[in-house]
Amino acid sequence: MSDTPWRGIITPPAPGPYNMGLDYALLESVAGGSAPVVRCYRWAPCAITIGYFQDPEREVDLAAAARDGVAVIRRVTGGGAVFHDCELTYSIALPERASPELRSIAGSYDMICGAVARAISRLGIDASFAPVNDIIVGGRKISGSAQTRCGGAILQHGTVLIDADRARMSAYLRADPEKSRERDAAGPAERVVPLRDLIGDRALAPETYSTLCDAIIGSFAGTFGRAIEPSSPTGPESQRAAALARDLFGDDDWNARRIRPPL
Amino acid sequence: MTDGRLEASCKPTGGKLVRVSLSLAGGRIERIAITGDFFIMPESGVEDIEAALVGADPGAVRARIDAVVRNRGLRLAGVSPASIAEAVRRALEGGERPA
Repeated sequence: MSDTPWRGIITPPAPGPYNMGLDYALLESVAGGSAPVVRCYRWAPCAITIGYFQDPEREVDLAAAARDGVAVIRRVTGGGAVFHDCELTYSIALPERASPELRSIAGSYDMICGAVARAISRLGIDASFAPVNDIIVGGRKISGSAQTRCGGAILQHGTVLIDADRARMSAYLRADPEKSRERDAAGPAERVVPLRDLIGDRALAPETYSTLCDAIIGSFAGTFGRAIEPSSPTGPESQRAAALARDLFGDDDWNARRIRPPL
Repeated sequence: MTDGRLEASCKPTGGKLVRVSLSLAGGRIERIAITGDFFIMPESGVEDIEAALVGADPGAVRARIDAVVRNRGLRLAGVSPASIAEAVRRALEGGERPA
């Protein structure tokens, strides 16, 4: 596999369960020996995800989300709750053996988030990795990431915030008292900085989204020293994504109680 | 120490939040759920830690967590056996009553 180019996939906006299903399907492909994949995507409609270990009732105002028809989906990756609205989401699936730095969780966040930070910085912003799993600009978070591992392969996905509807973020995501104590009583909406706050309305232009997708894919190619060629999900990957969207990420037992159905 | 459901959390500086919800029976942990925005891989390791703490007396909590992490080769980020044990200790000392 050493000479096989990696795959770069830009998928159209999709609902949350499908987005999470396709990321997991790509992880399964890579764990099964397929070439590593970098993917960029968006969310339509907007959705909320929570980390694998989180209690949705504690993290999310479920009544507010239900009132607005916003799905709450449990990820297979750890980390925190996210309101996915106007953002670019990246994901990368690759074998642990692609680089020695990937063996440890801390080293892999450093390497992968570092690549994304360099891509964001190409827009003229000074973005940097902030452990455990964030990318910050001027002390505020522009990107958060999460990962899981399966069969010797890593899936890491994360957001790049393009615009922030802080009123909706605050309406859906509950501020944790312990976190707020540490960070000057700021809630989730105050701790973030979207691209629009940094480069103005240019952040919302379709060309900026395309530029950022290309920069992220190019940055991973440079970081790992590999060619990444434009690609699409295979038929089996799309079918698996749809099945996971229905049977896992659309399943109430999984989303509310972390009870995994047979797949 | 009273029987009933007890909750507490622990968030070390620079680390992730760990929240523990537990119930006691006869001074030992009867049920426990560990939640938060941390990373444990493989993820099923958190259920192994929960299972290992059922029936534990308060003095044995840290050793039981250490044993699961070691025996299963769990990889942790933003969380440690110490922060989980601290959340359990706070819950056992009365914690916050669930809302």
